Amino acid sequence: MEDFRSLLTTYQHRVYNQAYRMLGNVEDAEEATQDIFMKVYRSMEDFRGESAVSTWIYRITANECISRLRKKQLDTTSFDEPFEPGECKSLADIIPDKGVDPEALLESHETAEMIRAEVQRLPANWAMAISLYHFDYLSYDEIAEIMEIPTATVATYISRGRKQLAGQLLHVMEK
Amino acid sequence: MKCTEFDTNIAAYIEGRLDDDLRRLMDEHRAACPECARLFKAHSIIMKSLDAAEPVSAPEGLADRIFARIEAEAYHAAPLPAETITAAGAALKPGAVFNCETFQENIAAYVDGLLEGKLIAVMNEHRAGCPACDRLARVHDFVVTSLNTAEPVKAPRSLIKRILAAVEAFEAESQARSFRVFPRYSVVAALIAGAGSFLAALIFMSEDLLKSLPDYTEELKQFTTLKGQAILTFLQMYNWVTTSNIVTYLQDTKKFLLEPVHIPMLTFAMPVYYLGIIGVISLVAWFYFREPDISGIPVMSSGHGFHA
Repeated sequence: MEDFRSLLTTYQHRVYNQAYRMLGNVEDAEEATQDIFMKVYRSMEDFRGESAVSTWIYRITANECISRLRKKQLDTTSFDEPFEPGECKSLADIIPDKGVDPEALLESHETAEMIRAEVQRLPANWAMAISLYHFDYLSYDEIAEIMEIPTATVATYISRGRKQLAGQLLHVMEK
Repeated sequence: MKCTEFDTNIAAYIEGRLDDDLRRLMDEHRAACPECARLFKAHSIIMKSLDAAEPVSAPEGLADRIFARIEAEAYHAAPLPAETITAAGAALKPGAVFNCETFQENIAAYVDGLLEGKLIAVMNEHRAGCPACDRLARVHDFVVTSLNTAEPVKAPRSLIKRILAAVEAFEAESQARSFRVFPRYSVVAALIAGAGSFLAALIFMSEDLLKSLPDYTEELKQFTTLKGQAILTFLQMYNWVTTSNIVTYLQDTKKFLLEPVHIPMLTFAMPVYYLGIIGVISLVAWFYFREPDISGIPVMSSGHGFHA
């Protein structure tokens, strides 16, 4: 129990940060964080030290977040409603109505926050790779080990995800 | 000494870091120049104010964030995998056409600062002459900056307590279940095993018991072996279930005698014993290999006033 308490204290913020960035709201992030740490607790005896503890915890986190994000995206699209991550509205929904100079959007903190929220609309694997890279500063190699995919695939996910985000922003600016 | 020299050395002068000659020159100039005297006084007041200031602690986690950022920059400056820079390298080959499409292919690595110097120059040159690609680059740059500058969100303080409570509840529930389940089934198993063992013992002792009978014969002796007991048990059960009279028939034909059933329930001992053993093994296997049920774990409540 003491080992678990130590792990919890060390990783709680990083796990929660990932869950929040992936799922977009406090309720889902807290629920996911609890589930992740319950899984960590239940599988502690099976952990054989073949990878770093941080990699092991991040892997559980990534699997949980990807699974939850996919379910969330599926649930929202199945009802033919726009996906609303957290309390942030869509980039395309808000910005054009404000009559703001498109170039000024690239200076706006609000736009930056929306870009971050848009990550949740990306395919779950892309979103996870971007989240680990940009929000937790992990390297491509570390992300590859966590997600159990080749390093080149990580680079592809991140690159495609960012292109999609940039494409959405460009689309709004050109409206 | 000129006023500019006095101004240059004033900080070291106030802090007492000048050598004797220079300090003497500063003293003389200060005495002769009212402007520099005022400057000295102003500096002295500022220095005293600064010295008297209460030390301010860095915000919690600042060091971690700084180290994380340094590590991040180091990681992000690492070269991309070979597969991903192939397209960028191809753009520099002789005869390759560098157009907007090439620019777009390399935009991610360009924004991350991961391209080679030559390619960066080509990208910059293209960008300078192409407003669309320039805008694309600025948008990509904005996206990357937006992602990189996300403030880390901290878990609410109550979350760690709730997780620990959930784990403790899980642990307590698991232990309670194991203590509750084990005695109940172990008693049943023990009863079955005990009854089976008792009957088995009767079978093994049956030879002595049979020998005590007055009409003990050689034909009866065969039933004193385990195999004989099993055959007799089968025959008795068959007789009982079908209400036929095969044992009586066998008795009439002088092949077997009915005497062994003098021992109560002896003829049912073997099947009961086997069933008991199978039952015990099944229960033990079920107990040790069952999937733990965590449905009883309380689900945490969320939203305790924490906001990102």
